[in-house]
Amino acid sequence: MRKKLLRLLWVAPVAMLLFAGSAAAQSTGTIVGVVNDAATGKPVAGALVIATSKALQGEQTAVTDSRGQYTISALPPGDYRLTAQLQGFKPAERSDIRLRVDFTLRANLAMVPESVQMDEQVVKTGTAPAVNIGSAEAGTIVSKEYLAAVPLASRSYEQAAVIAPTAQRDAYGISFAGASSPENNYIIDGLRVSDPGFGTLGTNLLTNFVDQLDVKVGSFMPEYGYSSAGIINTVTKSGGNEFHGSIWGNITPGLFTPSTPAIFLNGQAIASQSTPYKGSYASDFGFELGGPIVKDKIWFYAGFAPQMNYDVRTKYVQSRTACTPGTAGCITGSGQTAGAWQQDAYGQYIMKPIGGTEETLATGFNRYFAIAKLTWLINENNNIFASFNTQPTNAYGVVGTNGYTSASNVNTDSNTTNVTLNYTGKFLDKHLLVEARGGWYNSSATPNNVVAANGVNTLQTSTVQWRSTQQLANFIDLPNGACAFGACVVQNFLTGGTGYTESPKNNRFAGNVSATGLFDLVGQHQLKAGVQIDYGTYDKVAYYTGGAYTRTIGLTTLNAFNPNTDGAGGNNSTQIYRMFGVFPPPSLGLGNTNFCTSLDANGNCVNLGYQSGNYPGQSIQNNNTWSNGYYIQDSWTIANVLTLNFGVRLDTQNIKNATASASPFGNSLAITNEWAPRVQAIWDFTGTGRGKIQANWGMYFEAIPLDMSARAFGSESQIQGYYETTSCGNFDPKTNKNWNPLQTCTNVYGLGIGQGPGNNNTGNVRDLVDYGPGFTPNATSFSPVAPDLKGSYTQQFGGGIQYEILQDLTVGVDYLGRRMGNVIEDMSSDDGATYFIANPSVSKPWTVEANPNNPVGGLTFNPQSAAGLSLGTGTVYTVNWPKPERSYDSVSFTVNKLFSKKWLAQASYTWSSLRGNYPGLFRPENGQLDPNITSEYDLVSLLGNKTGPLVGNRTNQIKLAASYNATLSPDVTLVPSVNFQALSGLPVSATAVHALYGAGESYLLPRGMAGNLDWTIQLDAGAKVLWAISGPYTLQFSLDIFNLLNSQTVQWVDMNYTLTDSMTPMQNAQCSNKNSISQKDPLAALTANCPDLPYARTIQGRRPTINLNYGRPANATGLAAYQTPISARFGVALSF
Amino acid sequence: MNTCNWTRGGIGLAVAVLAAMTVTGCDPYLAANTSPPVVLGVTMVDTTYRTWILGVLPQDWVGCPKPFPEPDQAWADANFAGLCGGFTSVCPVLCYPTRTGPAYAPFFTGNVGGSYKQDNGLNFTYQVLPAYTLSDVPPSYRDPDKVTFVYNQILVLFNKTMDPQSIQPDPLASVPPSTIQLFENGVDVTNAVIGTTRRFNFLYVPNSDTTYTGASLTVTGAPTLNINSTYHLVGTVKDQQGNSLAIDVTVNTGPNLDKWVPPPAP
Repeated sequence: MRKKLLRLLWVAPVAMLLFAGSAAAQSTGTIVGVVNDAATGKPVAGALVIATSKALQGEQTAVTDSRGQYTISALPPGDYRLTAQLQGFKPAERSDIRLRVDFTLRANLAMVPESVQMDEQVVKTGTAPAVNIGSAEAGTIVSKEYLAAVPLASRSYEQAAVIAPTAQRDAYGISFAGASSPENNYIIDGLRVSDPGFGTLGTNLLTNFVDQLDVKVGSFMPEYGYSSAGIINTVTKSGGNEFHGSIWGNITPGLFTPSTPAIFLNGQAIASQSTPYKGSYASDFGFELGGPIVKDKIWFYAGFAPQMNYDVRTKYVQSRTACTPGTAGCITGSGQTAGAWQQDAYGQYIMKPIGGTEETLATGFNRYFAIAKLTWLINENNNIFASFNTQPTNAYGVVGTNGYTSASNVNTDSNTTNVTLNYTGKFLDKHLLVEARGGWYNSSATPNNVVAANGVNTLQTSTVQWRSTQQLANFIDLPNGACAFGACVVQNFLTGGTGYTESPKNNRFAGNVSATGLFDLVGQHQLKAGVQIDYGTYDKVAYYTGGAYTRTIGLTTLNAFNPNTDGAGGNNSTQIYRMFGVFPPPSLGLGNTNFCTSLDANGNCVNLGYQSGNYPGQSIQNNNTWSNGYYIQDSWTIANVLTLNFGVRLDTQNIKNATASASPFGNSLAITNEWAPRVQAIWDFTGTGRGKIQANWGMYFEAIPLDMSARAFGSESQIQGYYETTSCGNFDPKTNKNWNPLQTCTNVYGLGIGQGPGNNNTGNVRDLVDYGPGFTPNATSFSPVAPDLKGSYTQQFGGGIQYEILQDLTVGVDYLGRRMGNVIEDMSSDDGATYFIANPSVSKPWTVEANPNNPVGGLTFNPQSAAGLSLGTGTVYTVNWPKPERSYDSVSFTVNKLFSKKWLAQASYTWSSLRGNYPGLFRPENGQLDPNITSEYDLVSLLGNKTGPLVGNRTNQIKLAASYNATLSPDVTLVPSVNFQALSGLPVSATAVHALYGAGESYLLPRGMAGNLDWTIQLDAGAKVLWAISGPYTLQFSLDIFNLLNSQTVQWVDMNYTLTDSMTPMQNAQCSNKNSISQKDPLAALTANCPDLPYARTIQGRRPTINLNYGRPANATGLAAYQTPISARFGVALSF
Repeated sequence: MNTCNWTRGGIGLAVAVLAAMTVTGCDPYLAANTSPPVVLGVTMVDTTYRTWILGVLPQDWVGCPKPFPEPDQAWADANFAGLCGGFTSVCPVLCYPTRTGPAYAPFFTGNVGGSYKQDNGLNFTYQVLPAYTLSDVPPSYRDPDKVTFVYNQILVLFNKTMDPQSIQPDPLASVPPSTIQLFENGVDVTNAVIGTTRRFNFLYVPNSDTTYTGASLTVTGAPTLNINSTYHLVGTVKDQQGNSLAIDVTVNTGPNLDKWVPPPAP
């Protein structure tokens, strides 16, 4: 004992040193049980219990205590066999114990005394239980058998997690129990691989490389952190004592996939649709190999796989249909110079495709996965594994349609690399378990300049958005006579370069050290304490191509452009809509009203001179965060049937913007008091590990991504201003595709000729704001942080019952509730003049210390109440900030069948409710991904009507995935499989333009008042033929058919009631029928159902210009307008 | 199979389902506002007001000091000396910013309605009045910066959305039902039509700024109101639950005001 203690004293500090700086997650499981005398029923003390498995190097043993109890922990997931040996007894054996990641299984053994006469020399006990009696967390396990058999449309592993009850896809990943996906913690081999900048999934992996997913929907214990939602804890494959491997290839040709319906705005000339049959494909091929370097000592696993996807769309021009005024459906309206246009009974313009205008657009990526893993068993009590994966990727293509290809032609190189080192040691006769992990996550993305087909350099040319209605002929040549009388119009057409561009570089150095003690004290305890250290960085260089994103304002021309006249008079102007600048630090003495385009390494203001070249103003941001977790938890099992898990976790976050331009008055955030208690109770009512009744409660803190630091602390600001369009020279895009208003415009709107910045002026960008009202910063230099800021967290609680009714077949029903606690958001209590970071409705008002160099010095910020400017009357009102709410409740009925006896299945039905006014770390309505600084709580005037069913509110979810191995002959096995999901539709709202924030930000009607979209039904089916051709070699042919029913349900619609008019909400307006969106004409139905709607007024008191496209299918971020049509994947693999 | 386990499991299942249904059964959102309709206040609106300057509030305007002592009230406590007819120095009325720019309307003693009742010298409770009187309203006002404001719209603010039919039966016609009347110096001008020298437009406006305010009835005199006149708006309106509400608003206009001082001749 003394030697072991001394060894522990030596090993533990070394491990701490090795992995200091350090990630966390369980990648192993535990088997517990009791060994009894079969004759007397009394416990057998001193029996040697031996666990063996193909997944285990060597064997793991334990000796039963005086009550016959044993615990074998830190076992890699796999199928185990247990044997118990003791002199005087026949050996006892129990096999088919399917241990999964982070599971605790109970496997009791009964030993028969030697004196009992039996034929068998080894006593085999019945089947092993499958219920995790050590935890009450919600979630599921996706096994490698599931990944290999069930058809999964995406080849990336994380998509398999949607089989978990309550899970669904959102714009940026997988949402669990109503939370937004960036709140998740994504873990691979113990390393947190969430993107440090935005919290999204940072690493893809082909399912071929994955052993299993531990999908934690919620209610996990304190050893897991960095998540206020769920966890996808992924374990990659390992080697074994025998060589195994495979070579495979998969291809999904577009040839068999039909088009989706065309997408276009009502009456607009440009339409597009997916046309995969024109050459789309998704393919991957590769190999994997695993085996022993030294049997039972050192294993290796390695793989490599290129993946290539290519997606083809077709864009074409369509014209309105002329008709005779006065006839049915024939209307006169804006946009045409003569004649009238035919509309159908639902207000849709009758459009005619114009032959010869088809243009094929494509996007795609080439990715190269590489993975390696080394597992080393030093001795029975000490092992190490190292894991590595990387995936250089090039993504390319034209992503948009409403503009020149140069405006959306992207080409980006990116890569993510993960390295993990893990140590596990057992000491004190295996009563002390020490684990240490260290890892490095690295990712980067670099956009490449492309010379587009029209000769435009995509990264060097300013984007111009032609906001008003324009004739398409102003931009492209059309067939003669095709668009007579102005039959082809477009809005918001884009010319020039690609606009916003960002080159991020992320790193994370992470690791943990934990110690688990196993001891008896009124029951069995597993007391675990640990430290998790996580240092993340997010560095980015962001700019607008050509220096600025520009828009034309009020420029309406229905004939060919004439730059000499079209830009003149009235409100015609060219807007510098977005342009980066930074506030220099006060030490430079430039004052706080001056901008620099960037700062050099020493923090000096650099005017890079957009006038003399195309080098843009940049936002260079360097951000870092220490996110550390400390936890202690106990798992206390009483009488082998009742387990109480309880513990607490303390998280601290220190975020800093280390950029030279960061304001010294507010460049950091520190939260040091994120205490998160969690408790669970599990009652094994069977006493044999085959059933449990459970309950849980806990607090879960969000790990704040660094985007907030970059945008709110970096003194990053943007310049807005207006030029007289007549001073801009030739802006005709057909003859001047490289028009850059920053270079050519000379006259600031409202000022005299030569008074503004430009070629003919001496001013530089730094002095833009000195030009008066023409150019102004549109944001403050930085956002101060409430001194009493608290961490953002959720409360989770639930309970349920699970019971193994047949071998490996478990049924259950669970309730899961989730509520928002504090929320961190940026806010403005003065209607947008200044912003700050606080807990809405919780943080107390404070006054920033006065300082002449601090732009917000002396100002008071109030997170509890705010003023708003009534945009209709000019009056000011005051209002309390409402508390952010996101309430999720669900009841899930589940059936899980582990793979055994040739089949597996996972099925569930979930009823849920997701309501509130706060969706999470991104805005689903417009895809804004700015964790903790979305527009959700920016202004009180944005909050009207926001309480209601949130976008993720799918009331019903039905899921079924199953496969069966049918033996056709001794050498041939057929594996049919199915993956079925039926999800009720998303809620639909009606929004208007907010005067300051733009389209989609003002909820005209209460959220969700338009009803829900139709159910999405997805049936995927697969079949694999496994042919044992010779020896260990098996040849596999597979066919997976996705969306077998070719269902093309609308998944997202245009929710903009108006795209042009600023309107305040119709507060709490009610509609007689809340199912307008399912009607043939959603707009008419909404108008008929909601008595207030026909009277809606703009802030100017006018009737609004209604968006006739309201309720029509539209693409959204991460979600296509229509379900992906039927497709087929063909695969072949040779494995051994 | 252990029958006892099944029994216990069944009880557990039932408890879980019942608990879940209890928690999830209530839906606190989207409920209609069934409170009785009231007129929160009445004001005159400058219809030349345009919100082209956005996102900028004065940091420290007179009468609306942060941190706004009466949040969740449409009316902030305001220290407008002499306002509200000298009723009190603490005038809990619609809070206007200072006249710092063309986007901001000037305040004057007549453009507010409603009142506060001072309970104990510290707390103020907003008191809904059965009738509102606005006095000394200048139909036209020119500020020192030579910006002209036209106060020709009476805005009656309710606490909830109302039955549009009781205010403006046809959304395309700015005409009230017979239950609403407007008198100008005692003459019924409700049905003044296009072609006469002046016309009054009656609109139901369901949009509002905050959750504690609702729809409005606006009556706009085109092109302007007469100076030194009395306008009396009376009638009955209903909410969407069928509850009736009487409205009684009197607007007394004064002379036009001109605060612009021409610069001295060079």
